[in-house]
Parts: sequence; structure tokens; C-alpha cells
Amino acid sequence: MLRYGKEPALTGRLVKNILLLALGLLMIYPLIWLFFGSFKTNTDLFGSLSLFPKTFVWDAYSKGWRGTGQFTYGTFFLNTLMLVVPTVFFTVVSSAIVAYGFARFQFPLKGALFALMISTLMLPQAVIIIPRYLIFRNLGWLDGYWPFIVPAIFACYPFFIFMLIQFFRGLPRELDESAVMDGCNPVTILFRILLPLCKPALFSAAIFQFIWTWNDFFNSLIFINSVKKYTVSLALRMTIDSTGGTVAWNQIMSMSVLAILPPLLIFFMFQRYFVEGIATTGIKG
Amino acid sequence: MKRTFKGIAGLVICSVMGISLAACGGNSANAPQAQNGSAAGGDSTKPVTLRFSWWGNDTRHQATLKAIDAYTKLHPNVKIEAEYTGFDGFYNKLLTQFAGGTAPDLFQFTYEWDNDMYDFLLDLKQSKSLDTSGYDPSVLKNFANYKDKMIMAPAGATSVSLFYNQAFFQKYGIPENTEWTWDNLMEIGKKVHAQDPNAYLLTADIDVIYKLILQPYVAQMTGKNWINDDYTPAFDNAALTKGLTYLSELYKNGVLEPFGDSSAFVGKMEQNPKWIKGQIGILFDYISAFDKYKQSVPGGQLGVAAYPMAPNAPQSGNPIAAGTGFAVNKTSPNAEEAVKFINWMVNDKDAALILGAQRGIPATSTARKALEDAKQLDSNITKGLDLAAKQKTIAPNVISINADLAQIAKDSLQKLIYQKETPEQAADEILKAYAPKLAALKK
Repeated sequence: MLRYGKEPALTGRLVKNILLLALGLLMIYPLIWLFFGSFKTNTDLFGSLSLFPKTFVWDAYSKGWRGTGQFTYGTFFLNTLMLVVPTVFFTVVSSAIVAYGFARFQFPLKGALFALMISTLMLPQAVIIIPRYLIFRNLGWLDGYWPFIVPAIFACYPFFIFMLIQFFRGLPRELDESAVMDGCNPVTILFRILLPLCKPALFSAAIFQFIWTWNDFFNSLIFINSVKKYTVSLALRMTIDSTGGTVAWNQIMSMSVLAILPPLLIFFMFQRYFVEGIATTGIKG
Repeated sequence: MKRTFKGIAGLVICSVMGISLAACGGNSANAPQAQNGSAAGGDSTKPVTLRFSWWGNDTRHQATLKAIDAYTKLHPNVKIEAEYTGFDGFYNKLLTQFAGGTAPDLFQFTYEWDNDMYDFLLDLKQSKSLDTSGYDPSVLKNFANYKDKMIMAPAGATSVSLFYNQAFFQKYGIPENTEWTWDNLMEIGKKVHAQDPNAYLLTADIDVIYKLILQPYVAQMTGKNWINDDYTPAFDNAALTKGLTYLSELYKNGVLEPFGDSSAFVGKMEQNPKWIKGQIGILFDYISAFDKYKQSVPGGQLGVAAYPMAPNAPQSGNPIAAGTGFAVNKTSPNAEEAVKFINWMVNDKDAALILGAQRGIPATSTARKALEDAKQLDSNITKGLDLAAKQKTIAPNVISINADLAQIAKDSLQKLIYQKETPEQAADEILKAYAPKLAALKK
């Protein structure tokens, strides 16, 4: 095993661990607060800073789940999955194919196309939202999940393409060459040789895309109209109204707790690959 | 070379697959829209689907959904798709939908958007399905009509009210029947703050400062709106300076909660911890928000009083506003059916009982009477409206609530509050910035 310097003394380790623990607690405190907040009354939530509720409200979860009565959060979670799962899947597949093309092949205008792809990475969301809206309207895709899924099929997420290109470049070309000797064509090289080696990068892309799409509010707001097609992020905003009336914050918080569970679980489950992916995209073979 | 070609071919195949998949989706998503179009005829038994969008909180959503149920039972050929959400983002989304030609058939609307959305809205006068006889003619003139078209069917009336914490008043010996003027507000506020440096008589966010303190204060001096109908400011430099001086005095004397503390709660003053703990006595807001403040104050001890008036003021600057209502998309193929539904919502007795006061006190006499007979009106809300109705007031005009003008004033107000500018400098700055903006708006 590699050793960096001396093994630290017991007190040193204790101090280090306590510091790390305190820092970790600081990071996760908002989540803890959110969890306890879902049991508080409105007065408690805004009137005191203490973590524990003065009066426990137990029915926030059941009441919150019912939504406004028309559709329950079951529908909203299902909708979100119907949007997120295909989007993530197609993003990973299409980005890998495009990245493979850029990393391994020579074709006319490659430099220009690469520059174009990178330039779309720099383009702010706000600039393209109106043309996108008009295109999707003309295609008749509004009020559905196609505006999310189709761009994923066409690898419209340059960030992931770029990340995967970096990873492919790190894999030695000799692998491809020996595969050709063994009778592989470009498609089988990609699927049988390169993609299995790319697992960390693919997982990173999937985790990123899952969390971003799951949390996305703005695009859902613009593209989805019907309440029965609402995603969780829209459903959470459904009753937050600043113009009058009372908002049952504990119900919104309880549903927020449920809403952050899937991204949280995904992140912790695949954390290992995620860290590897991020760390290794920077290393050149 | 060969390898490269195969690679490209693979990509092409993939993208072709993508296109055909996408095309399928397009067709299936288009189908219901086409159906909508074919049901365009005026025949009242043909099946019609209406998209109805509104904003609000849970109780308003539930009341409106119930009303939709009741209406579709009466008219089985009509199907109403509800699109509801909170207020934030509603305006932006509606504008995007107008721009993209995908706006719903009918929607909740406020007269504050008249200027922005006028071109997209149906003239309800042209439609024979809306009975306007139950409306007060002045309500129609001031809120429903804009540039000779009737674009909104007002839903309910509201006005600004003074909410006070009853326990706070007892603690500091303030009589509940105080008739508030701007001067005694300052005097009592000073005393309260002198007794307890943590207590403030008043809190206000930047919107409230501009809309519910500065504008009415100046309006009570001038007797006019904020901006005249001919796009000139209705106040002179002296009047504005006086208003700004009063405002800065409120801060200097500790009558108003320090701006830094209150600015975290813009549009949600009921979440202000000082208010919840009972360290703030008074709030100004629309009477329709009574419920939310009642629930946030300890013990629910919330009183309603008349808005401050300067002695001998020609008008209160606090009109009764039929702030929100319903409007119809001009391009909707089912506009007539949409108007029929609106007519039922604003005029029908049963509808009134279902909708209650969820959009303010109903604006038509039939609906209001139905609620009064059923004793469904919160007495505090009626009290707030009656108090505002007692004062002389003039009709608000749309240009006075322009968002760009508000932003100009708010910027200067913040400089004033943080004492970067004197009231005189701030007044000069506001008037100077208003001139070109007003000239541009007039076009």
C-alpha cells in the first residue's frame, strides 16, 4: 500500500474525524431540517429556529400525498419517472455514440463540428428557450414529454458528449486495433470493447442527467400544461401561492422529502462509479 | 476509410430511427388538438373541450375543481381541463403561451396585465352569453374594460386593509378603535419602539412600501392617481419629496421594521418571525389575504381596521378593486362555450356557493346575495371592504401600476432607505427616470 508520510497519531485522527463529522453535519443539515420541518405547523416553521417541532403534525404525509384531490402524488411520481428514465437512457446512449465518433474517427469538417458542439455547451438556457418552444409547438409536442426525450435521443447535451470524448481519448487505441484484428467492426468495438471500459463515465453521465432532469422546474413549467401530466417539481409548486390564502408548508415539505429520496438513493448507490468517472476523465492514457 | 464510412452509416441509422420514433410521438400528441378544432361549431350539444387555467392555493383549487364538476354535470357535452398552479411563474407562462399560440381557452386574469395582454383577449361585449347586469357599472368601467373592449369578467372585489395584532395592541395600550392617520401612525410607532427596541409598529416589504404606503400617501395629497391618464406624473417634486421624507422618518424613528430584516419576506409577510412572535403590530395587505395572516398570528387574534387617512384628504388612494377575474383567449375555437362557463361562474347562485370568497367577495349582486343568504361570508372580509368603501376614492388606472415605473421607484427607494440619498435627491431621480419611460409607454 502507498504511504504518504507518517501514520497520524490518535489525537490527530480524532481531531480530523471530528472536524469532518462537523463539516458533514453542516452539509446535510438542510436535509435534516427539511425532514423535521415536515412535522411542524406553519407557526413553528417560521417562528422558531429550533430543529424539533413544538407540536407534531403527523398527517402532513398522508394529506400531502393526496395533492389537491384530483391527482395524488403517485401520478406525479409516475409522470416524473416516465420523463426521466427515457431521457437518461437516451442521453447516455446517444452521447456515447457521438463521443465515439468524435474521439476515434476522422471525417470532413470534424474540427468545425467539434467547435460547434462545444459552442452549444456555452449557450445559456435562456437564449434558446423561445426557439425551442416554437419548434416543439410546430411539431405538436407541447404538453408531453417529447421535448425532453427527443433532444436526448439526438444527443443534445454537449456536456456529456464532451465528458465521454475525454474518457474515450484516455482509452488506448491499441485496444481498437486488436479488436479489428479479431474481426470487430466499429459498432462492435464500441459496444463490446469501449463501453464496458467506460462504465464510470457512463454512470456519471446517468447520475448527473437523472438528478438534473428530476430537479428541473423551468422546462417542465414551460412545456407541460395539464395537471395530470405534472412532474413532481411542478406539483410541489401547485399550491404555493403568494397572492393570498394559507399554504400548508408541512405538506409541501413532506412531499419534498419524498421527492429528494430517488436522486439521493441513486447518488449513494452509484457514488463509487461517479467518483471514479469524474477522477479519471482528466487522466490521459 | 472503410471503417470511417461504416461508422457514419451507423450514426445515420441511429438518427433515422430517432426521427421515425419522434414522428410517431408528434402524431399522437397532435390528435386531441385536431379534435378540439373540429368541435368549433356553435352547436351547444356538440362535445367541447375547454382548457381553463388559474392560480391559487389549495382551497381555491378545490373550490374551482368542484365548480367545474358541477358545471360539466349540467352540460355533459362540455369537458373542462383544469390547469392550475401557484402564482409564481403564471404570468410568464401565459405570455409564452400567447406568443406560441398555445394559450388555454380561458384563464384567471388580473387587470394589472391589461396593457401586456390586451391584444390576445376576446372582447366579451361581442359575446351574448355573458350577463353583465349583476355588476356595478363602475366596476365594469374601471376593471373589466380596457381601450373600449371588455376583456375581463371580474370575479371578486378586494381592497387594501390594515391588519393588526390584537394582543400587540393590548400590550402597548393602543385602542383598537384608533382612527389611523399617517401622523398618529408615526407617533404611536415611536412610543412602541421606545418601550421595546425589539418591537415595531409596522413592517413592509419593498412592494408594500411603494404600492401601499408611498403611492396612497402621495395620492391623498394630490387627490389623483399615481400617473395621469395622459401619461404624466400626477404629483410634483414637492409632493413626492414629502412622501419620501415621511417614509425615511418611519425608518429613522423605528416605526417600520428595519429594511434588511423585512426584505427576506417580500410577498410573504406572514412568514416574518417578528410578526409570528407578536413583535409587530400592523401590516397592510389586500383583505383577501385575511385568512393567511389570521393563521400566522399567535392565537389567531387578528383585527381589521380602516386604512390610514390624512385629515381632509380628497381621496384615500385605496380603491376597491375587482382585481382578478376571467378572460378568454381570442383565438380559442370554443370561445363562446368558454364565455358561457364564465357567465355561470360569476352569476349563478350555486356556483357562488361552491366558489365562495376564494377570489374575493363576488363582484356580481346575485352571487354576493347568494353568499350573504347562506352566511358564507367572513365578517372580517366584509368589514375590510366596507371600511374601504366608506372613504372617497377614485378609480385606479392601469398606467399607475406599470411594472417598469415600479422598478424605477423601488431602486430609488432602496437608496433612500439605506441613506445613500436624501428624499430630495431620490425625488429628483425618480422624476428624471420617469420622463423617458412614460414617453416610451405613451407610444
